[in-house]
Formats: sequence, structure tokens, C-alpha cells
Amino acid sequence: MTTAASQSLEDLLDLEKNKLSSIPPKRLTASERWMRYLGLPLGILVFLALYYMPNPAGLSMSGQVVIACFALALVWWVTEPIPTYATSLFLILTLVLLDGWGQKAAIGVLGFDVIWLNIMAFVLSSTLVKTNLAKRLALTLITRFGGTSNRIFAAFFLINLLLSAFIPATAAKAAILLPLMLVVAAIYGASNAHPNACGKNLFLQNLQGINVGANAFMTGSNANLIAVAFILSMASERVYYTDWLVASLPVVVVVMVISWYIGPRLVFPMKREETRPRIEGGIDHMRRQLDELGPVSRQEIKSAAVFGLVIFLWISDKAHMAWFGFELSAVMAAMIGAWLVFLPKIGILKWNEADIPWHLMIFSCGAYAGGFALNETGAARWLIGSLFERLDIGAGTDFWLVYAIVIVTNMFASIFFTSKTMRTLIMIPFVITIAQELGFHPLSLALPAAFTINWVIALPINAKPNVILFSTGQYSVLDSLRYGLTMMAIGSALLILAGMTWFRFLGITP
Amino acid sequence: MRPRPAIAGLWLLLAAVSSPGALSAQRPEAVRVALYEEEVSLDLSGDAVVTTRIELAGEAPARWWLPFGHEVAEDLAVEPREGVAVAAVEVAGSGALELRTAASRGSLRSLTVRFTLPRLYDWSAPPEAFGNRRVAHQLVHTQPLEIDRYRLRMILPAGFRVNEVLRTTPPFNPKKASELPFELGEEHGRATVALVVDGLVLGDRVGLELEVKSARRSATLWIAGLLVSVLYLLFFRDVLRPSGEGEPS
Repeated sequence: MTTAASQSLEDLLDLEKNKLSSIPPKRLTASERWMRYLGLPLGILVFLALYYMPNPAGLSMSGQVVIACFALALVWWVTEPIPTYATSLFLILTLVLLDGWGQKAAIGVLGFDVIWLNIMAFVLSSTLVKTNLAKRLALTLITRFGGTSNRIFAAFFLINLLLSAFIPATAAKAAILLPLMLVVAAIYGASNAHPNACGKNLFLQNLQGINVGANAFMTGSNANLIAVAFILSMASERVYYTDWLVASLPVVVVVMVISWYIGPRLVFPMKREETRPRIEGGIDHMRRQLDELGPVSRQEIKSAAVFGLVIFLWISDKAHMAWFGFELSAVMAAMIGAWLVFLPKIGILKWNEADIPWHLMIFSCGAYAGGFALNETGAARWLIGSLFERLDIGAGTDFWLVYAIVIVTNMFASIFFTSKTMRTLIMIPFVITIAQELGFHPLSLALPAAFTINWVIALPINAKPNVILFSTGQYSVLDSLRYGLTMMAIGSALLILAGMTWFRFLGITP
Repeated sequence: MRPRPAIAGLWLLLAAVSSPGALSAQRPEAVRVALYEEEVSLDLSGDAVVTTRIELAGEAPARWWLPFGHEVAEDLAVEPREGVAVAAVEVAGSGALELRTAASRGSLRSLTVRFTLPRLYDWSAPPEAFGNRRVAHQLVHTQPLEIDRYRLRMILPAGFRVNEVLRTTPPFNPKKASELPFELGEEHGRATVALVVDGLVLGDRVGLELEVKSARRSATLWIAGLLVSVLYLLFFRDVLRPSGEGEPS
């Protein structure tokens, strides 16, 4: 059946027209044009000020160079006077040519597992899109949960929470949800060529769900386990799975509900037409579309089998040692799937059909190079140490003031890190030491601080899922910053409130 | 002493504590070094002033040795002076500082040895790429006398800063350890690097390898940066104009 309405749906879901690997022109608002105009000199001025300031005690010269280069890149990524991938190339160039970080290390970032995982995720995503399985799942989701975007956002939150309980790799969760999000966004009229508020809310709320959802469970991410290990080794306090769950899950649920409510209303207000699918005939038409897809095709079964295998390998990582004698990492599991889909006859995809946004891989490389250079030159550690020093926390400081400072600094420090593990390695021992020096119970500060570990939603560089979702072109760095900072402020307030109520009831805080 | 020609720009202080037998023979009870602290102050003239502070857990033996890997040392002195004598000697092929404690001295728990190493590093020699110079210090513990804590502090000449700590011995894995074994600092405007290693036993090596450079930055980037900014603001004003579909980003 070819009607005007069905043609419109086909157009929306035509991923040849909305390829992630192509860069569509973007229409800018007046404020975005001003930011673009002033961003370049602003970035240069920030760089010059940091590069030429006297080398502070405790910071190496290379660390100072990295801070200056990273600050410049941050300003340019946000204001976009040049494309984000060009900024990344410039960042790598300046890091190397100004002796901030070695060439081998800087260009070696392209071989990092996060980049490979991204590529494999896009290959698998292309498979689901090509076989129409993603379209079938998205249409099922929308027809089941009703036609409004709010219900869809809520459904994604629930899916995220469920996945967090089983999959400790947040990048894997992003890879699973990516094709579904792309099709749902298209149905609501959001593509990389025409991003809208619905797409921004959908992708950024999912980003939050993927990352912050991992806070609900002690096994939600490896960084959580590292924090628990520190609490045990430095403070001699054992945190059990249920301790973590009972304390953190309610906070995660409340924060998700709040962001679900205020995201589309305050952060990216949606017009009425953006809350409904951009399909003539509405939900009934989509039901017809779903029916027209007919029975599940052989190709769909193949792609579901491959994707299912990869998900199974991701979920069962703890059993790998017993089964294989080694552990398959998330990237290796994804690579098995990608290899299978490229095989002749039994495969599904040809190389040209794989939609890999290489420009965003380059963006990621620059971002990771900057982040890792901050870590490896000790600059990140110095920044955090200096911050705590300046806060002048001493004996006699009120517990709740210290608690608030710890929560806020741990939460917002994520902006300067590309690795949760690194941040945990630096921050949690700091917090435990502060608690011990001030005579507070270490758990009262360290455990709530650990609940901020997965709040890595401000910038596309802060975590692996961020890079994957940013690659869709559905939102800008500025959008990410706007949403992330708002939610992180809310998250901080909630954790402080929880400290005074829920955590106190549980005996975590005094 | 000139820098070793085989390692241009790198000076290596290989120290060996020798003749442990003598120590243990005279003191049957276990004597440990509670703290072995070395401060190496580098001067632009090329000289280095080394101050070694030793704290013993137990009384000092009558005759014992400290690590010393230099052919020439000037102004050798020990604190306290009374009842303690120090001399540079060779023991079993290794350089050592021999310390003799007079019986009348009574219990000696801590002492400080100071000496100057003339022309240890040639700061006027051409630097490596990016103006970097390599500076290293290493101690090899060659005796059974246990050292509870070893602390090294290197003070760079005025105007020089640490660009990077290239290596620590024992090696440090930033992905596993929560705290760095070294600390960068500043004293009277001079950059310092401190390394702390606990529990040294026979055969252990401890050390630092640094990349240092002048703190002065060329003004080229200032000029280039400001020039690019001004030119951009002048010639890219069209960025402010609304342009149909806009630029690819």
C-alpha cells in the first residue's frame, strides 16, 4: 500500500538519506552564530592565559600544556567555530607539538578499545537498520506504549534500568539501544540533518539512563566495584550488593523521574507537534505499518541472532573464564558479531552498507587524547587536589558542609575526565582520607561520593556511551553540556537531600 | 666529576652500601635504617649539594657505610661532628662513605652527611627536543640492612621546572595505584620532586628519571595567537550572517 502517509514514514526511516556518516548542513540560531564567531578568539585567549601563567607548584610543565590545550578544545567544541573533528585534530597537534603528550601515545588513541567498540557498535546497528528489525522493534515500542513522546521516554528509562541490572558495560547498553533510538527519533521527526527537541530529549535522557542507571546497582559498572574495594581497604567497611541497591536505587529512580518530567518542559521544551509521531494517520497508521512489515524475515532472524549472541556474551562475561579459559571483553564480543555479519552468504551486511561516522571517530580520538593526557601528566590529579586545597576544609567544619562539597566536587569533576575508573581511583581515596582526617565515618562520605561515579553526562568525551550517542548528530556539545549540567545540579541536590534523609535512615550518614 | 659520557645529559648516582658483614658482626641485634633521606640540590653552576639524613632504629654500629657512587666529593661533613668521623672509601670495588662512631659518643640514632659534587651536570650543554634535559637519580641497595623508608628530594636549579617524570623505580602503574609515589613541589621558587619508597631490602633499586626544561616560554605563541584572533574577527564576520542552510559542521 503506497499512500502519502506511508511515503512520509518511509522518508523518515530512509537511513540512506539520514546516514550518520554524512554531515548535513546545519541551520544556526543567532546566539549560535555569535558563539561561533567569538568562540575562536575566546579559546585562543583561554589557551594563552593558561599556557603562559607561571608553572604552579605541583604541576608539571607538560601537565600545564595539556590543561591549556584541553581548555582551548573545550571552548571550541562547545562554541564550534571550526567543526568538532577539526578541533580534535588541532588538539592532538598541539598536545604533540607543544610537548604536552608524546606523538605515539596521542595518535595511538585511534587504536583504543573504545574506538573499536564504537566501530563495531555502528556495524551491528547498521545490520539492525538494514534488515528492518530496528524499525519493527521501534514501531512495536511506540504502538505498545502509546503515541506520545513522554511514554516513549518512560519506556526507555525502564529498559535502561533493566539493562543496568544485567550489563555492567555502559557502552554495550548504548550499542543495544542505538538502533532503536535512531528509528524512534526518525518517527518523531528528528534526524542528524534536522535535529529537534524530541531527539535531544530522547538521546540525552537515554544517555542519562545508560550512565546513571549504572549507579543503581553495585555491579552496574566496574568503577562502582573499585570504589567498594577502596572503602573496604582504606576504611575497613564492607559494602554489600543489597546495601548499595537499597541506598542508591531509590535515588536513581527519583532522579530519572525528575529528568523525565523537566527535560521536555524546561531543558529542551518541546512543541506540541514534536511530542507526536510525525506520521500522517498517527498511531493507527504505525500499527498498519507494523502489520505491513509482515512476518519476521530470515534476514531479521539472522541479525537478531547475531545481536542476541553479542548481548549474551556481554551479559555472561563473568562465566567466560569457566567456559573458555579467558574473558571476552565487550569489544571482542562485538567484533565477533561484526565479523559474522560481514561473512559471504551467511552474513547480512556489505562494507558499503555499514554506516560508520568516521568524522566522529576522529572527534572521539581527540577527546580521548586530551582526557588521557590530563590523566597521564598528572594534571587531572593536580586540578582535583588544588580544588580540595582551596576549599580549606579543616577540623571543626560542619559535616553537612563537607558532605555537600564532596558530592558537588565529585559530581562536577566528571567534566574533566574521560574515564570513570581514573576518576574513582583519584577521588574516592581523597574522600576517605578527608573523612578520616576530619573524624567522620569514612562510609558517610565515601559511599554517597561513589553514587556520583556514573554521573558522566555533561560532555560527549566523559564516557564511552556519550561518544556513541553523540555520533548520531542529534544534539550538539552545547546541548549535552546544558542538559548534563542541569541534571548534575539536580543530582547533587538530590544526593544531598538523600544524605540528610534516606541515607541517614539507613545509617550511612550521621 | 663530569657527567658520564655514555649517557649524555643523564647523571646517574649509583650507590652501593657495602660490607654488611662488618655491620652485622659488630651488632648482632638487628639494626634497621628507619629513614634514609637524600636531598639533591642542583645548582646552575653544575654543582650539586647532597644532604643525606639517616635515622636508625637501634644504635649506630662503631663502623659502617653509606652508599656513595662519586669519584670526587668536596666539603664532606657530618652532623653531629663530635665523636663521628666520615671518609670516602672503596669497599669491595664500590664507593662508600665510611662512618666511624667513637665508643665515647654514646647512642647515635641520627646523623646528617653533606657533600658537594662539583660540575655534576652541564646546564649549558644543548638540550634535547623541546628544550628538555634528562636528570636521573638512582640508589641500589646492596646490603641486607633494611631501610624502612627511603625518601629522595631533588631540587632543580632556579628557572628550571619538571616537564615530566619519565620513570620511577619501582615502576608506578597509574591505572592501579591510587596515589603517586612522587610529588612535585616548590621551595623558595625552585621546583622540587620527592619520591618515597617504603621497605627497601637487599637488591632493591629506587630512583627517579626526570625530564626538565626552562620555565621560560617563547613569546611566539602569544603573538601568533593574538594575530589569528584579530584576523579571524576581521575576516570572518560573515559567520554572523544567517545563511540559508548554514555550514556543514
